[in-house]
Amino acid sequence: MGYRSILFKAVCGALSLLLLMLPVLGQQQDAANQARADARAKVNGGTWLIIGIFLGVIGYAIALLSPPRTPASALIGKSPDYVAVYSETFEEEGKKIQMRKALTGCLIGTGIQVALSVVLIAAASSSLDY
Amino acid sequence: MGPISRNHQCWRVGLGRKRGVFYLIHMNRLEIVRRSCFATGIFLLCSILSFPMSFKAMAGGFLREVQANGKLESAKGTIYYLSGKVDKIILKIVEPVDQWMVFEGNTLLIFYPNSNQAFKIESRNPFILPFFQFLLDLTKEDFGLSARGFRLSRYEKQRQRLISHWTPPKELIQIIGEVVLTHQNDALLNVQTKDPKGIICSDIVFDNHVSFQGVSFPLQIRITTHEKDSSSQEAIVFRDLEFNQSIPADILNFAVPAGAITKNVKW
Repeated sequence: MGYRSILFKAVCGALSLLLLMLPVLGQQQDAANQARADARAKVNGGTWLIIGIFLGVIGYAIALLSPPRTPASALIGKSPDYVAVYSETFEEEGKKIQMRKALTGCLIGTGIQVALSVVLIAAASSSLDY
Repeated sequence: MGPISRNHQCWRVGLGRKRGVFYLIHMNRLEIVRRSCFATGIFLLCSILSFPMSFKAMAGGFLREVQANGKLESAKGTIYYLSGKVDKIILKIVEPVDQWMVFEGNTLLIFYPNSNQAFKIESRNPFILPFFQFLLDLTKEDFGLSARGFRLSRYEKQRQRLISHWTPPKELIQIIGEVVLTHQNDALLNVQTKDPKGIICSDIVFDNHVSFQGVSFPLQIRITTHEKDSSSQEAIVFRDLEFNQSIPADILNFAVPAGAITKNVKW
């Protein structure tokens, strides 16, 4: 009987803790979801794509090093936990978008350069044949 | 003298042969109306766009409500603004949490007195508070658009309202199609931003204006933002706005207490 009551108390305690933690976990999940949505809406992927095309690897490096700007008004009236999670998630998500777009631009730019080089070489070799 | 142009007839009233010659220009009614409207519009536009304003400090209560993704969130508190080499904005929020937010250039300081926690966020770009930035832009000529590279493309008068259309600078032309301002008397009523396809991206409505040094400040601002898959509404109500009054020293010199748990974040 002794171990059963201890087990029962332990299970109740764990459940109570879980119930207390649920609102906090829910709020943190809200913060993370909102931060991802804001990053997708506010980080200008098109700009980073163009930077990647024209600057190539340098553009990708800039995307890696440049953090996005956190919209300050999103933090008004929010709890400390929310601010912590939101800021970290926004930065991570924003950087991912920047890097992804810059890398895509870099690859496109490289492809264009390779294609142009092939055309120029072909043109040069055909003119030599004459 | 014969007529100068098809629409005009000109008579010379001379005081002498070469000096003091006055011309009376006779125009038809349509031409008079057209030139009067043009002159009135130019006059109104110039008077609205030039603000002789000195704005050193501001304080007042605010209530901010945001509706997005089916949720309504609100925050209530007091806002303080001090202009200087680096402008300083302080928000003292009382609902839903006790929170201090101090914006100063590239640094944002957030402090929670109840839990003694603080965040110091340093960014490479200056922080701005959009709903308050609108109030600051009202003190600038043409809402600060010319300084940002916007160009007035055309304007029109509709009853008592003056509507001006602004085209963006080259670096923003792929994001913004045009900005449309609507004024009535000296009050800015509406700012609409459209994308290059002409679709409205944001619609800002200003209401319940109070006047200070010839500038009409709205006590209510409603912002509707349309994004790819969603839209959101933000409503701000200011109360007891005071201009150029001294800000209390404990607010102005606010600093995070020594024992607070501070997290430094760099952007």
